[in-house]
Amino acid sequence: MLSPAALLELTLAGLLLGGIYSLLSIGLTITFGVARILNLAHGEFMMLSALGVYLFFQFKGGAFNPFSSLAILAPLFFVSGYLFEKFLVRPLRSKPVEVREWTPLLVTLGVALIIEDLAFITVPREFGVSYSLPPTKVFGLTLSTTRLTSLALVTGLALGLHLFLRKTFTGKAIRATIQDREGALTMGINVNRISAITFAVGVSLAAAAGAFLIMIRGIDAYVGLPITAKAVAIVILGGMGSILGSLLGALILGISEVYVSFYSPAWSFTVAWAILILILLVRPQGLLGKRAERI
Amino acid sequence: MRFDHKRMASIAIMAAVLLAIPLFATGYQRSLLNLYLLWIILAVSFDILRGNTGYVNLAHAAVFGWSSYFFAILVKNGYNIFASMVTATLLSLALAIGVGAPFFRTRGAYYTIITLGFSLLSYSLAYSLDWVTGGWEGISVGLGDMHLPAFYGLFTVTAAAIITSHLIARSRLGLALRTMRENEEAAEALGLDTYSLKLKSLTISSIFPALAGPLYVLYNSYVNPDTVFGLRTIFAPATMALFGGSGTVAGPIIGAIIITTLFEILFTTQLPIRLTIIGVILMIVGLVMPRGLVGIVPRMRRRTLVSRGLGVSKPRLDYLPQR
Repeated sequence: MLSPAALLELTLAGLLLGGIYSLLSIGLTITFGVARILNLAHGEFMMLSALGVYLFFQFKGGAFNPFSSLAILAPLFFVSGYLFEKFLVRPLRSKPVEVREWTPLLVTLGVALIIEDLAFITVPREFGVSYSLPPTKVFGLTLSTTRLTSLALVTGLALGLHLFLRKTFTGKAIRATIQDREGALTMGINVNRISAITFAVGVSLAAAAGAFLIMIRGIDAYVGLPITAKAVAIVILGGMGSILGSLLGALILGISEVYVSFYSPAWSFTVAWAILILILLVRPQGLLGKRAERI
Repeated sequence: MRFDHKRMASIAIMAAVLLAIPLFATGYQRSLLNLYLLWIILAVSFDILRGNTGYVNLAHAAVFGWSSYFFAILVKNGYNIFASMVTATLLSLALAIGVGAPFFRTRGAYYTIITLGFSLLSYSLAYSLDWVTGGWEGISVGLGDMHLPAFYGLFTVTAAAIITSHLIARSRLGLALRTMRENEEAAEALGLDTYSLKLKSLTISSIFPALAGPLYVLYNSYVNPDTVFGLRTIFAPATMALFGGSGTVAGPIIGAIIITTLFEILFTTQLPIRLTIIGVILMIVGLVMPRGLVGIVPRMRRRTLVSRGLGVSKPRLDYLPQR
């Protein structure tokens, strides 16, 4: 049986993993929400950011720790998300209704394959960052400071995003566009600009998730599509386009994955998917989703 | 349909030639032929649902995968090959309908994504249930050289799939399905039971991957999660049908042949940038030719195809307001 200390350790790890998943899947859900296009290359941005952090750490390890390299990389990802929307997603949205349901999947899958291939040519092996701060001792328990810092930063990012979406005009415009694109358009919102900003924010969130993930586990160039699959699962679980639902789904998945893999690593993914399918059979629209509608 | 002696004769000669080819082929050529037939089956049957109803079912290849696994498991445990085939087909068909029916509560992109979710679950299940599926090692069944029987089996299923697709396009069912595709609410208002229509077309389209699974294991004598549930397999039927031209009988066949050839070249030559090449092709298909190869044939030519019964005329939706 688990000792209280191990239980705390596991819960902490589960919360951190859930937090990382939530950054990733909130990014995916807001981009899906505004554009109604599922971006299968979403996880690739996470992989690229992890790769960037790794390269910084490998060659400039003395000058940059993973947190500061994330601060340098984030603006780059913000710009690439903006350009991604402008040159790839926008042309896809202008396709006839009958083909709009599947062409985005093909195109974004194509982008994902290209990115994976190029990343594999750059670093053709599993890579990781062995970075840790001296451990913290609280009430006689030893906890990893790196994880606590990561968890604090993830929570901060999620709160910052929440405030951005609730309080700023751009944030409100993003939520309006998610609710009803035409409605937002008639209210004078520049939906194209909002879409581009949303993709920039979503891709930056994926990049942040990558920087935190590389500190807790090693990854390789082909991690993108499986992690996108996981993010898709979380987004469906929470309800498409629902931000709070994604957060909830990510925490459920992250914590259950950590607990299950403590007993049997092979089952962690399956249990997550089984939870997903069971919830969907009861609530096809997801935990907090609205009634499914035609796009 | 008019009965055309000349056309029937040419089809019969083509079929006879195709049936004779494997008798003179080497082992590799036989497995290549089987691979072509397999993908034609999956692409054509995928398009029975997608072409008529518009629903993109990414769990289609998973039905094939489960059927392969059921067959491999049964044979491995010493059951009769023929009985295992029938059981595997029925089990995977039941799975396709049982799991597929609730998914029809969603529409459009949501349906696509949920069925993708089912395929991904299948992949991880095939990994984790390692005491029956062998995990990542998969299952190998020693059946000897079964390329020829598998070829004739696959040939029959391919012919059945093409004929079914052809007949549905011309039937009342096909008309009802296409009405539903254009506007589901309007179809309901006309008195069509859309849910049972969707179930019917899902059942018809899932029969073929369920039949193909055991035949695949028969000639390949090996199955593992990556070959039947890998992302490449999950997306292949959709890519092939849409590349060739969805909503036509000829489109998915052309698409399956071209893409299988391409994969075979890329993965046997071991090019270092093969994923990039596939990625670029996917992007071109999606961005430049969303109606597929058949769609870029000029309209006049298409009309002749339609009058010859090779393609189904497909109403265009371009006049609808663009969102």
